[in-house]
Amino acid sequence: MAEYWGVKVEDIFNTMQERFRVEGAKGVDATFGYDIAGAGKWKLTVKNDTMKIEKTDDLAGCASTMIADSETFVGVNIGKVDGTNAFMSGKVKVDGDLGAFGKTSKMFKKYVPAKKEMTTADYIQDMFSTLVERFQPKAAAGLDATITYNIGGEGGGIWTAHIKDGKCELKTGKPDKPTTALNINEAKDWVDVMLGKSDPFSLLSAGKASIEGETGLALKLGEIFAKYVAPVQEFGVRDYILDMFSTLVQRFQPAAAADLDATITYDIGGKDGGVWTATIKGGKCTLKEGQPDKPTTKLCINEAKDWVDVMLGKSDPFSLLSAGKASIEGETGLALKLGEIFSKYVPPTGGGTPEQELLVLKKTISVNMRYATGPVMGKFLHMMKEKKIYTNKCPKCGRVHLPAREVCAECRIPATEWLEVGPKGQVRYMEYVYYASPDPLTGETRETPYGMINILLDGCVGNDTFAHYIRRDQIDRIKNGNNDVSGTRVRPVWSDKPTGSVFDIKYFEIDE
Amino acid sequence: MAHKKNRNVGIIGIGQTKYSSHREDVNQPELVHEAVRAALDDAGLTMNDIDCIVHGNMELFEMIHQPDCWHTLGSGALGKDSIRITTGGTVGATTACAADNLVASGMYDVVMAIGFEKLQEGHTTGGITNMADPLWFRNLQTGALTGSKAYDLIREFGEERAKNVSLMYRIIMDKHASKNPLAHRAFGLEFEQIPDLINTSPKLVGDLKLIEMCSQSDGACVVIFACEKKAKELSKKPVWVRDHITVHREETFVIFGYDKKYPFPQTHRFAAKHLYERNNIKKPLDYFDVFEMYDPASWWAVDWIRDFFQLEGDEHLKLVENKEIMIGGKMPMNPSGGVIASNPIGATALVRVAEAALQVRGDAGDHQIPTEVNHALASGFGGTMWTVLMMLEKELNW
Amino acid sequence: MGNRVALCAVAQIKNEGDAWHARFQNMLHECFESIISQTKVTFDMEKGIRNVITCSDDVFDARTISDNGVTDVVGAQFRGEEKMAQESINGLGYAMSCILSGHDDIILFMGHAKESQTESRNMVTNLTFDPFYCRPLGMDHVNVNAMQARSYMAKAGVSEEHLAKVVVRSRKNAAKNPYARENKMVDEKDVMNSPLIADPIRELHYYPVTDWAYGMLLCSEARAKEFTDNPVWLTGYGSCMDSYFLGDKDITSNFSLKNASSRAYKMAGIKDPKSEINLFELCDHSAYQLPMWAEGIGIADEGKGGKWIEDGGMDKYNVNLSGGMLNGNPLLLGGAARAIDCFLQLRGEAGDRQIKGVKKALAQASYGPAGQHQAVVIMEK
Repeated sequence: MAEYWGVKVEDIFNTMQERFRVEGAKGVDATFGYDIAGAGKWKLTVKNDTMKIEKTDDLAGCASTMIADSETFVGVNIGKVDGTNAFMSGKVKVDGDLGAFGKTSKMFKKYVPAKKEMTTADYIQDMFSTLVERFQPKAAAGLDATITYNIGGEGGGIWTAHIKDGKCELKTGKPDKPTTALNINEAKDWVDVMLGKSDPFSLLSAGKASIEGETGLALKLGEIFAKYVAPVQEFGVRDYILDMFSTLVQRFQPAAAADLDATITYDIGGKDGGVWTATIKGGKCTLKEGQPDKPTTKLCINEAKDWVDVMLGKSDPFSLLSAGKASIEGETGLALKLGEIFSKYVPPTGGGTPEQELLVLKKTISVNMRYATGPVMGKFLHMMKEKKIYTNKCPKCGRVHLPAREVCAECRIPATEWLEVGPKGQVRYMEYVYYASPDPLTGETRETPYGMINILLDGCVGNDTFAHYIRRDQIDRIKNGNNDVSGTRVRPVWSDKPTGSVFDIKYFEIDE
Repeated sequence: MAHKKNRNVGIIGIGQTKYSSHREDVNQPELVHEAVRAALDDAGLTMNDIDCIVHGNMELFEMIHQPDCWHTLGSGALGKDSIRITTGGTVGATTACAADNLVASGMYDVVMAIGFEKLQEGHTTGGITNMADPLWFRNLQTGALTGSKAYDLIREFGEERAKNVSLMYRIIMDKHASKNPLAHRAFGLEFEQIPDLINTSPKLVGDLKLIEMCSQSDGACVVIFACEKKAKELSKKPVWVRDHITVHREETFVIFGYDKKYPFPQTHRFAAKHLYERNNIKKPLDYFDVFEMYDPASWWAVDWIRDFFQLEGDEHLKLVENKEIMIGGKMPMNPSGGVIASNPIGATALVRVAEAALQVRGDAGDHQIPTEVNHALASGFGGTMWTVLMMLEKELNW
Repeated sequence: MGNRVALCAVAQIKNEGDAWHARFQNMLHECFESIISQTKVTFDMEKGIRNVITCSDDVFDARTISDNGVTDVVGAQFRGEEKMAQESINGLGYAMSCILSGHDDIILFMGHAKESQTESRNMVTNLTFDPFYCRPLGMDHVNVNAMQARSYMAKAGVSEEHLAKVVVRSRKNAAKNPYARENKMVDEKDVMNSPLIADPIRELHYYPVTDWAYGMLLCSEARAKEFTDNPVWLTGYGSCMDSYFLGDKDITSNFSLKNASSRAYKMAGIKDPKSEINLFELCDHSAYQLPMWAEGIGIADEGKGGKWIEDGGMDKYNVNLSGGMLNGNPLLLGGAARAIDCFLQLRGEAGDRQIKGVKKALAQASYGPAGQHQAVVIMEK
């Protein structure tokens, strides 16, 4: 099955059970289909706070089905493709009840692809697949040459860069007489060089690599190709420990250790740990594994992971000491100066630090209100309790307000005349609502589709219509009126216990 | 009565953030700050040069009371005069009008208008539904969604033509948005997709489809206004504010009698009529070179073209069908992609003013219209069908 | 600058602790009708009101864009309406700019607030604070003002006795104001024994929950005589914003008020407020703010608020003859209330609280926690 960003469609479905969130499935009893072109069909059954996902050929009976191609489906799930954009532009479609399908978004935790560790072979592949984009034409102006990389050992291979007229082309294999050839015995050594853990001269000196042909050209490779940057991956504890100690000597501050003559041993416990000793004398520092009989100062840290936390600034040495997770032997005073003797460890960028986590604060804010109706709205609502639609109109232009208003907006005078209207009327326009907005107070959404009708009540003329709902099972029978043609006649269905609110009328129904 | 300005006002700085639905990397003051920085850089000024700040944003979308207090951290209002206005969707344009009034009055020389919204931090449709009277309509309202305008156009022009023109408008806006690196949504739609989208884009209410409705975005926009003297000193190409008008209407908008004996006037036509009359503009379609219109949905947009340009019959449909509203056409509209592409409500109307001003300056980059822009129009929309309309000029010659 | 701006007419309802019998539309409408009947102003597009400025607060109203509910009662149908979602005094400043800019000849300015509607005023002001740090700590205007009170009182030598004086005086003055909230008369002992709500602020030191609405008509100097034969001129306005986090500023410094008042004085051509201004209306949300704002506007010497009270500064400078905000005006409308009483005094219409010879008056109001934003308006006859 094809992979997109290293993820297969299958991976999304295979991890649904472990990502399942019961809170999102409460009250849901339905089946949902997924029809993913290039991958297959899956059916998700949700019932009684549990879920079942199965690959299938038949999506009959699903309340709604998502249709998308594999790449878009994976992309949306891992955040590489904006879901709303995909939906709006038709790359993701939903057949059936859209509202119902929307509920699935709360049922699963986000899919997070497992981090893969890159092998030597992976690095070599990545290096050579990025070689051409790292080519610097200006540095190769006037150059006409072939450079062969002959990488031996597991993960190796042979590649040749053909450079001519300011362009670079990469081919596998090598020509008879390349201008320059780099022979590296072991691929993993070349990976170390590319990752900055070693350097070409060390390899050459140790006989682990050799150069044939024009040596001068080999020396210019660092200008002809921009530095290789490994793809971001997470460092493990062991990686950090090794990195820390491999950079210790570089971080040594001679000025702070001018008259110092000492050995400082780091005894890091746990499976990722090790023992290293820094020897400081005559303003110089060297590092070796192991420890002498009596080091001047010895830091014992029980667990390597704790030391990594300290080095990354997530913890501090005093916390470790207080918690008994670390101890100091020998000269304590010297231990206290370590922060001056060695500059702060900075983890490698683009390799070690995980992406900054964004904190999100979710809060529902609720402040209760007590709304006054005032005499005008109050009268209107009061009459609703008596199952009457009793409202006011402008004494000047005759406009009837629904619901009652203090003034006529047009005439700017109080609407002082009251009259009973309706309760029956004709529908002039119905909003056929497919997408329900959630109620701002409860967050609940109405079942869709539903119809919001605008009724010209008997006794009213003009534009002011009374808005309310039509019985759900009648929405497809409603005809809008216009000009002198009457729309469907409707009547209110009152609640048995009116309280003086808009829902004293439960809904309207066709007057037949 | 013609507008007799006490002194002239020019736009000398414009800053916008990218509009997106994922600005979780910044908090509210930080988002404001991005746009403030951009505007100051554009104008070549520092906060020391600003006398007063006008802040516009609807607090209930983000649930912060008196947000201009917190936003001081990013707006630079410390030590300055500062005013806060909130009029719904129109607020961005209102802050521009306010800034114009404040500078023209002589009380301040340089005023910074800030429009801002971070819709992802709240619930937008819930926020809009919350506009309605809690005693009655809040229980019935469907946010800003209505199928009534689609119904109107279909009745007047026939289903096929109406649906096509709505989608044609939408695709033109998408093409414009594709040229605007700051736009939130640009799908790369093509005209050939119209029949397919008519059938497959999910319906929201009546014939209003998902693709025809604006997005909900996070973003901020800042525009700096200065008096004539300072504008000429500080900027090589100030954009002059000629006039503006604000027209509101009452709370109730379920006015669906559909009886031609009782026409339902729209604030758009009223605003256009009064603004043009007092500025002696008889043919707005000829006069203006570009129009940044607040278009929350394509159906509304098509209809309002008729009101804003004082057209009759189906002239407005033809403008869309003949692609005259495209960049390069006779009456380019929303070269930025418009509200349908990016909608951070508190900023949106100010973005219309900002984008119109960029067109006048010739600085709109890829979405600059090819012909010279001397006269620009920008509109704001919001609340219960309110309109704000503002005229911008390249030269001080009216 | 152009002409002066005239304030032609004001209207208000009575401040109440709980106006259960009216919704905001009713409250505003009463004020609207009064303005129309006083001035006979119309809404004609050529000669009448084209623009209305309203003042209200979405959170207290619990409605997004709450001004959409007022459009009809303030006559703004097919007219401009701009909502000042900030202290009402800034609406006055903004209205001044609309007229001075030449854009509008007449501005109708109306505002409302019902603090009684919400279950807790403190829950609302808690929302002014950032959601990550201050809000979860439970900060609201009361306890933040309390912190300011504690620091200021120590700095300026203000004692419990001084605060009690302020409260007792406020109630006495308000009793002469027919629109003031009706509160019990109290004596200094009552005040000093009243329960602490946030140390050192006691219940009687803080303005009580209030509902109110008002209306004002402003216009250009050229047209003032169409609407009144007794206009009051708005000659100065200044506002200023301070930093947000309490730790970023010295909350006793009066930074924003000093800047706001100096800008207002400059605009009005005032060099020495003590001698040139006859009447001061200050928004004291809490008793300690009266001497503190007095220092900020320059009628009490810096750091000497306590002594100023003792030396009779409040009466000497005719401060808060209306009873002040302390007696009860809703949050956000304190400025309008102050301006209205200045207006009445300048016109000789202040009834039992009228003093002689008022030629210039100052109204001040604050917004945001611990007076983060301050504004001052200067009015003259």
